[in-house]
Amino acid sequence: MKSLFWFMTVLGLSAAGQHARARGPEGRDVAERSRVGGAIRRWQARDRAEPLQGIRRPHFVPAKPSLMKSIQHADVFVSTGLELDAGWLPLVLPGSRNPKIQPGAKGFVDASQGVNVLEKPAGTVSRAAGDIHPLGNPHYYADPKNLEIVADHLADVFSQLDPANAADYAANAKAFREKMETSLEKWQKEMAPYKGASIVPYHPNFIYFAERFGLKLFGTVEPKPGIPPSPHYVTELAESMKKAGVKVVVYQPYYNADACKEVARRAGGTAVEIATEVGGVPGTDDVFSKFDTLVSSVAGALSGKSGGSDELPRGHGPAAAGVPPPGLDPPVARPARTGPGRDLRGPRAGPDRRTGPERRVSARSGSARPQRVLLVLRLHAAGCRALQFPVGSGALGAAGSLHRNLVRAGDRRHRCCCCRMLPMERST
Amino acid sequence: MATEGFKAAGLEAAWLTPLPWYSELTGGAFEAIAADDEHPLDFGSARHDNVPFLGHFKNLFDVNDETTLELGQSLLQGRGADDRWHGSYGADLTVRNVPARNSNQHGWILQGEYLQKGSYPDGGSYVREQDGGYASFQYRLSQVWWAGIRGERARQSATDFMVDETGAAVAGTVDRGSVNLAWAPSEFSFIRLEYSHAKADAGIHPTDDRLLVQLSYTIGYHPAHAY
Repeated sequence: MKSLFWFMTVLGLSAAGQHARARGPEGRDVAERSRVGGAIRRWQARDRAEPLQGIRRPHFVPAKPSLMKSIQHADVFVSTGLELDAGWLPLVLPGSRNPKIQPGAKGFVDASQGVNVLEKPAGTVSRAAGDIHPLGNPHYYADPKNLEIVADHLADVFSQLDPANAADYAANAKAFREKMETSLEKWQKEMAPYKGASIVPYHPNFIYFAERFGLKLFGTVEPKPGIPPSPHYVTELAESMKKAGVKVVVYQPYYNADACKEVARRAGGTAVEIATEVGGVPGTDDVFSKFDTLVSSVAGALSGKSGGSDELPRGHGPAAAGVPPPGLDPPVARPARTGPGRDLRGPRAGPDRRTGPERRVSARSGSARPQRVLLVLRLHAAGCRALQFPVGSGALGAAGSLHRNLVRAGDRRHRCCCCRMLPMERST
Repeated sequence: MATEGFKAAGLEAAWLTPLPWYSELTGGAFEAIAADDEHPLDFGSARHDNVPFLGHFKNLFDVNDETTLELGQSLLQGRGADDRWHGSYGADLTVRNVPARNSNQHGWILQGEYLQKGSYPDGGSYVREQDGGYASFQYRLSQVWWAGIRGERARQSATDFMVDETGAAVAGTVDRGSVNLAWAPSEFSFIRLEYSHAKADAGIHPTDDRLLVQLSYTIGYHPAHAY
């Protein structure tokens, strides 16, 4: 293979190379780092291409034709997988007219392989539950440990595609893993005082982080994934938080900050803007700085010392036992990672999605919902495309620039391009 | 032109050119069938040697990280029922803004298109028969609200309210303006309310006012979002 070309959007894995280093066999870490960037710049200059920009929200990346153009000659495409990018990549990949990177081809890599996927829906999956992902929660990149799995996986794949440099890929993955382990130890120490504390994310994209650091999720600001909250729901959620003593709401920059602030205000807590994707907020240029910022933001908000978007009193405490989010049945005993909060179906859904089929919705969820489920089922049976979309065919997207760790760059044989986020102004 | 106005069966190929920007050239050849309401751009000749062909040249530029400019040109040619060569030619422009921040909260689309249809008299040069165009602007007010305005003009054209005393269609110039408001509570559904006012210079109804309510509900798996 003359060249490798990695097209990746920026998610949690992004820009790892700048810190974990594209360490060459000679161990010239700093030089290799600069050479990686140099390689990108040289490629850009040679092909007159610009770094892909504007990618913010993983679910809603605009499927711009310029993205298609950018991967027209790519040799490898690394997808986040789990259908995180099902909203745009099924257009971008075919639009590139590049057979080498289509799902099923050698050049298409699903980065999620090997990751322990959480919140896999059981039973029937339908839009009555909102915009859920049939393959499970795709936001696995919010757990640092998962990035180690991805790094190893990419190293294996790159080694197969480019055997001549297999040793470099393996060494780079090892270096990344070592640095991640060291960093994780630091982050876990920082989060240790808040184990068992409850928080409320806007979207169900925080389960992996919560699981890793022992937090509990207490519902979400969205009533269901992809469904904006109504004023009634905001009131209901805030009241439940107040009763349970939950005071921290976290949200990504691309979500509705006003709703989050309002929930936090009514609950007497604080709303904190965080980034689960690299570049989501200033100062998160790679996975390590992203987690540095994320951990300190969450820890700060839980401690009441920092973070937040208003002058409300801050603080935290474990959720009061037996006080569920709005619309939820009383919690049942289950692993801590599930928490007393919601699942992908929203707080009106049943208590444990992983053990019960769709029909186990709460009795309080109303009668209309089962009817809608049946409608969808019937139409699917009549020939519509199945809900259980196969892995890979629609699961495309983003694995960040972890490739920088793995690519032996600077030799002009490797070409890479990274979708980066532009710095954005803070929420007002 | 191909997907909306020219629906005959055929073969089409699209080539992504090696130009530095997104530049796509599409060409196709199609079965000749008679024009009707469903196939307004077909020319009507069913001669076996009549193979209408279509071309489209689409260019898209990233103005900046948030805004793209798309320019397109289209042509369609074929033989008509009068055995003459007919052609349709179009040009379109789309400027689209998707903000980097709160991309699902704001944004706008400015769009315009011009289309004309004509024929080539025997041995003669092209004669325009009909033409028209529109311009529209859609603005996203919030995650769930869209508002828009649209203006359009068609010349030597007939619409359903342009009729004479006998009810027969008459051709003329018609201008229509419309405003719309859409509520999209989720990705899968929306309700759109539109009011439009039209003026025509032919027929017994000089004006036409309409109120449209559209409900759309998508079912099935999460579809990709076309740009």
